[in-house]
Amino acid sequence: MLLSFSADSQESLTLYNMNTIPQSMQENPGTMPLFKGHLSLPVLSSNYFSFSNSGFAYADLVKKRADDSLVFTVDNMLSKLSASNYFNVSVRTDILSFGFRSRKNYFSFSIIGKNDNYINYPKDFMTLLLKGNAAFIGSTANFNVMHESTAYIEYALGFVHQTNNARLSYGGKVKFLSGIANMQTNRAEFSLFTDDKTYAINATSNISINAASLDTGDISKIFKPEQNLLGSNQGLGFDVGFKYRVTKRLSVSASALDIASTIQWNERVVNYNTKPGGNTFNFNGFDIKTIFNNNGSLQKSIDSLSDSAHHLLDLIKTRKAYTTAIPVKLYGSIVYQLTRNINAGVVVYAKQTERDWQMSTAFSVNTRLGKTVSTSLSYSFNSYSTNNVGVGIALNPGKLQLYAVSDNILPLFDATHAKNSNIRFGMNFTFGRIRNPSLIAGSNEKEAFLDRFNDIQSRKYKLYRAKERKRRQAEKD
Amino acid sequence: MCKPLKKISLTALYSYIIGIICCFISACTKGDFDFNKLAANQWDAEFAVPLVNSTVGLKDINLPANCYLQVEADNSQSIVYTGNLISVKASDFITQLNSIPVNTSYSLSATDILAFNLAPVGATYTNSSSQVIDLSAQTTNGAAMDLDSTVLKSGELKLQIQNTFSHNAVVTISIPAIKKAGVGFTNTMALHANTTIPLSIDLTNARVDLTKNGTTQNKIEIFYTTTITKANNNSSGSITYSGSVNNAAFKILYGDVHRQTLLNKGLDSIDVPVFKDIKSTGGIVLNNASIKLNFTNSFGIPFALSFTSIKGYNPQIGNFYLNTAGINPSNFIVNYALQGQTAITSLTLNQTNPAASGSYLSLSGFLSNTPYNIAPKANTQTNPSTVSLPSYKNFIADTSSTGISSIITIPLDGKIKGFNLKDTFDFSFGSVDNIESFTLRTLINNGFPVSLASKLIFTDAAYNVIYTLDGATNPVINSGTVDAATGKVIAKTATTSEFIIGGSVVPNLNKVKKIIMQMTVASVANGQQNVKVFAGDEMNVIMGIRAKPKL
Repeated sequence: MLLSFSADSQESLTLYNMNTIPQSMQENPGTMPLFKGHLSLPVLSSNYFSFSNSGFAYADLVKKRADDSLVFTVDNMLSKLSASNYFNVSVRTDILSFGFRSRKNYFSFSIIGKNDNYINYPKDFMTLLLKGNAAFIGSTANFNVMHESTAYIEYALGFVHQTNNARLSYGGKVKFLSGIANMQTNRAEFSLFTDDKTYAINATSNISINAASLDTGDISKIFKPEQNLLGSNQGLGFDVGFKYRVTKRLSVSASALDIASTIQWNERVVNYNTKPGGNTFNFNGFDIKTIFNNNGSLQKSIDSLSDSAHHLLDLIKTRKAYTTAIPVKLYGSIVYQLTRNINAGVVVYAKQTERDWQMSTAFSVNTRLGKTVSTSLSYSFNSYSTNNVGVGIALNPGKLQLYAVSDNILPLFDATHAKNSNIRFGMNFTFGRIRNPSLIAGSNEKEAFLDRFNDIQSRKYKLYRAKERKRRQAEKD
Repeated sequence: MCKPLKKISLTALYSYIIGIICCFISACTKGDFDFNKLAANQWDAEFAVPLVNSTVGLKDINLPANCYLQVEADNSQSIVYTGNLISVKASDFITQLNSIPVNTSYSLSATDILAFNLAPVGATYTNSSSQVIDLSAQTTNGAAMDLDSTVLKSGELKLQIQNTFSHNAVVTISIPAIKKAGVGFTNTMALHANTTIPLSIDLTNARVDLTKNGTTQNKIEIFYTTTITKANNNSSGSITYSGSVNNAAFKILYGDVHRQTLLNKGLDSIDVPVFKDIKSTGGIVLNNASIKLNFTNSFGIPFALSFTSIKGYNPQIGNFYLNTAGINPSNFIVNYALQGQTAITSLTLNQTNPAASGSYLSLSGFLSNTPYNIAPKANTQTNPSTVSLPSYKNFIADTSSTGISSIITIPLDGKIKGFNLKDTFDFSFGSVDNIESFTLRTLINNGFPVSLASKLIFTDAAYNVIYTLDGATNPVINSGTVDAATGKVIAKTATTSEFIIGGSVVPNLNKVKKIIMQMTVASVANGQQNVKVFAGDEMNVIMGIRAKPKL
């Protein structure tokens, strides 16, 4: 059985404290939502797209000159790279989601389609690719080019409970994962040594590639709803979280997502591995006697060399099921209520990778104007970029909720310097919205009074509207 | 109550979305993503690859068919050339055996007629006579060989007896000189009146004594005994005996070829190909070179041989001569062979034999002039007086041969300076269309005691020069470190050179079809110190290129 970490995107930091949006429960399943029920529809409710590139921005690679022409600035781009760099692209969409509140509990169910794509490109690899091995004369270029693409469907059953004094809410999700397709380079280690005197080359490779449900080039055959919605590539996962109101103004929250989340890939699995110990290729130069035996032509020698070099990629094909792990994500947040409608908070996010944890930190200011509009403005920094400005807005004109949240909107103004961004948008139906989160805690009697007053006014207004409709109907009759 | 708030929020949302779209459009219309505006030759990449890694020793040199390397007792190397100066087979020496036909007639004398007339019919009259056929051998140089005997491989003794008498007769032919399986030939046959009888005797494998019982040479004696039976009184008529040896070919001849002298005979010249590659402008001193002449002889004839001249030729110098008068021995005896065997006798010319005299060179001086070829001339004499011959004197078998083969041994020991070597090879770079420029690096670990300054000239098929890599402007390939006492390399010397081949040259390299390699060779101390090449000496040739591709 093979086990490795799966690709996964960075979650949305700005969304974390926007509890008016049902999708925030995907970030912290222990927060009691600010509505009594919600319904999300396929395609419309939540579409999430993110990309992140830790290595370089477009402007690092392409420069516009005074004559309006573009030029590749490869050296500049390479100077921006770390030893190991990541590029992620993720797409998610809510297929179905609904939830309802029952007394002090909130029950939810969601089906989410997820596609995460990840590639690790070491600096040595990029340098070798773009600058040639002359950049490594006398040294060894080592790189492990990791790649993974995973598509799966997540079925989640959620539960949130709020204590009687409303100071603490906690909850969790049980998730059933149904894998659609996966391809991963479990290991793609290459090394290339170029002798500084003779330019002799010594190369090694140690490759392990797994793929499931990808043995066809026809994308329509990869995704078969009748198979993938509940296919044989299965796994489980868990989310837990809580929110605790420490004081009237201060609250803390935390969540852990995808705990022990794994998918075992059983369907149409193929594994490609180099022989034990890997492959090697050594080339010290052609024997001059061979060249002259070939009438002085290098071509035959080069052809022969090419055949030998291909052995570096000799792979053994097997069919063994393997398991990928969804990385664990941790959130922690502190929020301070500045005014009745404005709070400020910090969110710390950590995602487990093969080697360490990727960290992000966001500072946000969240506003809520009554029950109708809530916004968030955030600044965050992470391993990709230290300059991210995020915005979130949720508009509730009635039961319909329109929202859009992004952790970095700067690419909208200057895409050339963007290293990462994400956006989530859609529309939900929310029912029984609660005006201010502080009321749930019950510590502010004035706010509670106003909320009850508003509820009364709202009921009166509804009664008034109903009477008006009856009166107009009577006049027509 | 809440209605006004909804209107404000929708307006804000629309403004927000429109604003974002405007910003996004603004960001995307700056032309930063218009890749049609990308300029060519964006950045420099460079790839370094090894090209050649060879260890080359003398054994890797393609030597001519008549040349090989020889490891001497001290593990030093010599180049050995072999060649044939002359080769003579029996068929070259004696082409065939010659025979002179003879006719002998017998008729009744006057006295015989008187007696014949008195005898009654039915009476017999017997006559005995003999006849001699010459069988001789002549050498190709015109001299005759006196034959004592021969064993024939083939041939025919053709006899014809014609009876013009009117009487029948009986003839007995006896040839004791011709024996097959040790038995002499004899035959008796009836000869009717007025008839002619032909008789063919196969001489295959016949041993023929040509001495007439030890009294002469080159002669076969045939004895006839004829008995005539009187049928009438007519005494006229005769009996004629005719004989000849036809198509005789020998297996072996015994006799005497006498003392024959062949003056100033030009022998085949010996090519020395290694010297042909040297476009000499400098000097060379070869130590301990030798020429060994092997004389093989399966004739039963001894020879005396003396070289009248041994000429060398080199285009830079012209003709030059070895001091043949100083060769010891001056008159060299090539012994005769015993039957079925081959006698081998050798003469070795070396550092001291011969010594130089005037303009005539010692062997060292002779070979140091790097002769392209060597052409000897010699006087030869058969049966020299100093040789005691066996009783049969000489023999020549049909398989006999004699020859002079030469073994020129050139120890790679001496001094060399300023020698230019030149050779041409087929060579192609293949396609270099995607290469902008490259740097060729050579790393030579030289374990030979000579230094080389090289020039590589790349040409097209018509030998038009495309590009020249001139080692004269770069470090030479330095010689290995040499022990002064032994001349042996005790450590290799590394020489690294780099040749930058720029963008203006590279496109033309597609046309390269040949390499002309020119090398100037010198032993250590610029040819002033003796050096010696040993069997383990070798040179590591490493070449690598750093190429910039077109991007």
